[in-house]
Amino acid sequence: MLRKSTIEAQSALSTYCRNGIETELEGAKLDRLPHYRRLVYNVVVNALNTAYPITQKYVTEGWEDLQHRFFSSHYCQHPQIWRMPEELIAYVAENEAELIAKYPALIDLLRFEWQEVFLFMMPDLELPKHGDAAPNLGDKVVLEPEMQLLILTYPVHKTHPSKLIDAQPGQYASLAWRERETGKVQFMDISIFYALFLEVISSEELSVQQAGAKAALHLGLSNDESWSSNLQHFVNKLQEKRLIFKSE
Amino acid sequence: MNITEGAIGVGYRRAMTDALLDGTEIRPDFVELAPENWIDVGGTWKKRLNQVADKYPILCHGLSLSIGSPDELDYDFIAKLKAFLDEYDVPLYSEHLSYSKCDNAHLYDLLPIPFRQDAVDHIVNRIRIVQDMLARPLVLENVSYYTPVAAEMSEVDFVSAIVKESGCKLLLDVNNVYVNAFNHNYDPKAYIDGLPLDSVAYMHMAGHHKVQPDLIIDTHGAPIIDPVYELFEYATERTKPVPVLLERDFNLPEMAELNGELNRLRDIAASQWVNSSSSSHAS
Repeated sequence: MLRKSTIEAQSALSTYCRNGIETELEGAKLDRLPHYRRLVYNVVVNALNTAYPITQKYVTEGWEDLQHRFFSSHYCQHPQIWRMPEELIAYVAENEAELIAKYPALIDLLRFEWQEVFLFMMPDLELPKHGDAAPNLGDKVVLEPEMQLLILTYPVHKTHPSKLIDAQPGQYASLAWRERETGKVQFMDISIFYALFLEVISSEELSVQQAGAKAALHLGLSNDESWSSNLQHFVNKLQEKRLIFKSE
Repeated sequence: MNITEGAIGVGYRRAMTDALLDGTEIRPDFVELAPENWIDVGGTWKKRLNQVADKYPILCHGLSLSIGSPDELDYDFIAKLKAFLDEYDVPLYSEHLSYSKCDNAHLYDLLPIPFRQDAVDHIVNRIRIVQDMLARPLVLENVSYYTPVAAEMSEVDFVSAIVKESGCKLLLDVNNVYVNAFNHNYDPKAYIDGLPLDSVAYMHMAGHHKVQPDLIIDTHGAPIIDPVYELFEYATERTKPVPVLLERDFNLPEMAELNGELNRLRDIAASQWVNSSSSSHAS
């Protein structure tokens, strides 16, 4: 069993590396401790900057301070450094009300950027068995599993970071997927109706028409003919991109 | 997958992929990678890794095991690690004799463990657990460090005690010996002589960067310098043939230049090991 003083020494060095506040450390050469802080912190900052290049441009004042606060006070949980930046999203949501007030699209932008990283890197998921024919409104369907939907309050998926500060809140949706052939992540701006339709169809075994009706009811849409023809068009578009398939 | 004793490999960086697959400018005997950078990765990079693994044996050198941490081992991570090592038929898995997690927070870099007997006992116990879970021996590296922390014994005694008491294997990082000897004013050859050299299963070689007149940082960002080659030669005279790795993580040069370093290591290893039997080199 480790002695208390051994644990305390390890904890003191670790804490210093996280917060950079000078500390007494038994038997240490104090002039060399800053190298540990620098090396550790550089790794973390590089990982965050790589994951969030657009957010860096959006948060014109305070990005570096945010990184410092995050690493100082958050307990990074993931053993894989490339997964660590995801933890910034929850940290900001729970602890950074002041920064969010200044940069209201911050959370959406972090989620959007992380989605691209994750989709590009995520484990391969097998495409479920499916039929060959294009799905019609009466068909049940299966979806490409390497695809994710984001419901957003700010249009971070279609706005330059320099213009985001003036963006108005609303309801936006972005569909992202990893192309099987190229491995590239692609995005599509979609309406809230289509986003709701995809949420319904991915969670319940309904036909395209039934899922559309449920989404329409949720949004209070009454013109059945209008959304039906648009939905068929949307499904055709997804089918062309090999994101939706008729069930077997 | 078996790997030849005395094989010379290179640390795999993604930027090297095309050159490694082409095999014209650089042709190592194996490649080493950090499993943390590849576990649960799919898409483009999974395909590329599989191509590399089809062409070269893969050795793994971990970053996040944190064998010296006061925190509990991460059993979920070790299970994932085992699955990865099995998937790529990895014949040798090494890690660092350091800690990278403390107070339930990952630090993503290597911190020096207090050189103390209680730390030895703690780590020996953890090595046994990890070896049982991975169903393979653990090979631990002597790490570079810039200051001792709460030390009660020498570095060489600390490393030796852990290797001897746990039965784990030793990754002798020759550059780290050089860096530590410089930073802490000891004789690198005496340090090597003090290690349980029969347990050496792997060697690392790398470049470094002098940041102050009295301090070298182990950057893996420069070519190996002549004194480190000389120390490597000294080490190979005293060890049985083992795989040797060239680490280059930053400032990647032209692949031909890197291959030149591989060839120099290959020449030294061959001169010491090619006509040797394992028994003749035991220290």
